[in-house]
Amino acid sequence: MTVKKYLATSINSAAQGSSTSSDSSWASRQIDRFVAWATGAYRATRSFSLLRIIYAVGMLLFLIPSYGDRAYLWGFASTWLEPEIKRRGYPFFIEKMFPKDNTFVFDLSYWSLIVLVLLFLVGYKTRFVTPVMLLFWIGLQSNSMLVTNGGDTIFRITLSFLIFANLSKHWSVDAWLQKRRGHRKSYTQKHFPVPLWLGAGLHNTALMLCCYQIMLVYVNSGIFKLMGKEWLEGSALYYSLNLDAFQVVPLLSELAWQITPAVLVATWVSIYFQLLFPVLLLWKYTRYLSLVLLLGMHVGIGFFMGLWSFSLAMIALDMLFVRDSSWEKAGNWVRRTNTKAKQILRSEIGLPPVPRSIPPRPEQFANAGSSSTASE
Amino acid sequence: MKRPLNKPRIMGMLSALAVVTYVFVSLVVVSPNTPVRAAVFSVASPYYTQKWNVFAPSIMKVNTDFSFQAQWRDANGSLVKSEWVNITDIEQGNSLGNWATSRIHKQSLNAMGAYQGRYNKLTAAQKKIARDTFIERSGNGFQPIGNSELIQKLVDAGNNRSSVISFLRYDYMMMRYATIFATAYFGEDIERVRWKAERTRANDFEHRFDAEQQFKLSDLVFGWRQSNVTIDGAVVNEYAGVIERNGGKQ
Repeated sequence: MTVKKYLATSINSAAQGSSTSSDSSWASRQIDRFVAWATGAYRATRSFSLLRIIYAVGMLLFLIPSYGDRAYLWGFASTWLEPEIKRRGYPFFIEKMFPKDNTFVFDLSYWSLIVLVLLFLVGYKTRFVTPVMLLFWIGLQSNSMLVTNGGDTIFRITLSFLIFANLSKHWSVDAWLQKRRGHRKSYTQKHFPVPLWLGAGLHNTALMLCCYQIMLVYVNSGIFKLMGKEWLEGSALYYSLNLDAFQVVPLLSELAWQITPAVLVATWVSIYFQLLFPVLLLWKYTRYLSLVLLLGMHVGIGFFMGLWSFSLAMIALDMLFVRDSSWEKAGNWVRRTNTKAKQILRSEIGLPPVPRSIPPRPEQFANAGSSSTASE
Repeated sequence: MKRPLNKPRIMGMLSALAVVTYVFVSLVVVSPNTPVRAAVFSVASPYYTQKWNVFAPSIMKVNTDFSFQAQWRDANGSLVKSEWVNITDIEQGNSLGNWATSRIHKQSLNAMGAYQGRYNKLTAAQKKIARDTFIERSGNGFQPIGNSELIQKLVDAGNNRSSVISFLRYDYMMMRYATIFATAYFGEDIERVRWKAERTRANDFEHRFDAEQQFKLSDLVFGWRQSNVTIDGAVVNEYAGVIERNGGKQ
């Protein structure tokens, strides 16, 4: 049986709720469904592309503001940290990527990392850039244990999964080049063709691992919060807004904690929506409600506490729970609304209507096939 | 009839296996200390180490700054003692009102946090020794107390050798950090340094609107340490640059 036939049979049987062989058990059908889901198409490609852009912005917000202090934080002026750094157990070659005893190589590595993040941002040669960027990212972080936060940890962990994902299917130079090439195959596609089951299998494994990682962060953090007196009584946000190290604009933090209902609600929302996140994902409406609330929470963390790299990492991972079809619907809605608004505006100022049809509703695409099923 | 194994099915199994393995490893890594955790941690570390309890269960309430004091010899050979200098204030000099700030604002803050964490693992008798000076007389001058002597003195007061070593390692790092900073700050050949955790905290939630300050926390002051560090001129210049860029001397 060819791969295509196998997938077609599996998807068909899953859709019909029946098996190809009469004695197949329920468990066997579920396995078939899983195999079809995991290897049949690249999932969440728009969310992954958005994640690539958000991650790159978060990493640039780490690298560029710290550029002037690089020698002090990670370079030749940070050798006082060595007794602890040497005990962390990074391999020799990682430790040598940003050498403290060679300023030229250190600076070259720092610049290389910035360039790699910029290439990652625009999505150029992403398959190659992602693992190399990860190596440089770990190399820099291995030079100090004092200046990282949860966002940097998330970048480090999830990028090791994302090496296997297609992050540049949309909004990228790679996608633009592919479009320009049309049906012609690139050198890599011609000489090293990756079958759909393998490419999609690796991509979707990365998706599952990233989704699990964010659930782990939320649930683990929620459990700890549930054990804290201040979290339960609703005052935790007041204390965090009063920490000097997390006050970007002290006046804003002062104003925020003086609104008592906001402090109580935000504290409780952060516990219960984190703790219940995996359950809330099961139903579409609670999924979107929790994503919107958690998005608000992370924007708040970035705005009031200045932890932008953490906030952006979490927002990017949250987006993975939005399906490609939902992004398409949202995109079509925006385009339709935009066109309608333009028509109304033109008629108001007496111009003839735009000679262009309004994009059709998403239902009209229903059977046209998902763009996420295309292979690379 | 059993479905034959084929490539997509094998890929699906490997995919599930990868997820299950990572779920197991990550759950063990974030779980409380057990023998299993120690074994898994040694494999997962440092790439997959993570902890998500920074603000919980107990929320941070105390601001802890890292301040130091230094001593050097003047032209007559007499010891001169400086005022306290708050490194954290200097490092955070440019972070106010800046949403894209340098990571420098976290360095001394986290260093003092980690140092205090190790100090808190010592017994009361050991803490008393840690707050004392680590310098002894030697002939007409002074010298740092030898490592083995210091370790033995602390171990005798608590019998927890690993906590003692861990504390002393960080203590040595803090001595180097404070010495280099003091050299750049005062432009002198620093002979001794000491440091303190300067602590402040906001009123409790119930008293948040009170004008009167509810807590007056005492600083945690550590004893003098001999500055036995050879410092490169370029490093001193880098520290001087940091001080200058962040608003200059206090």
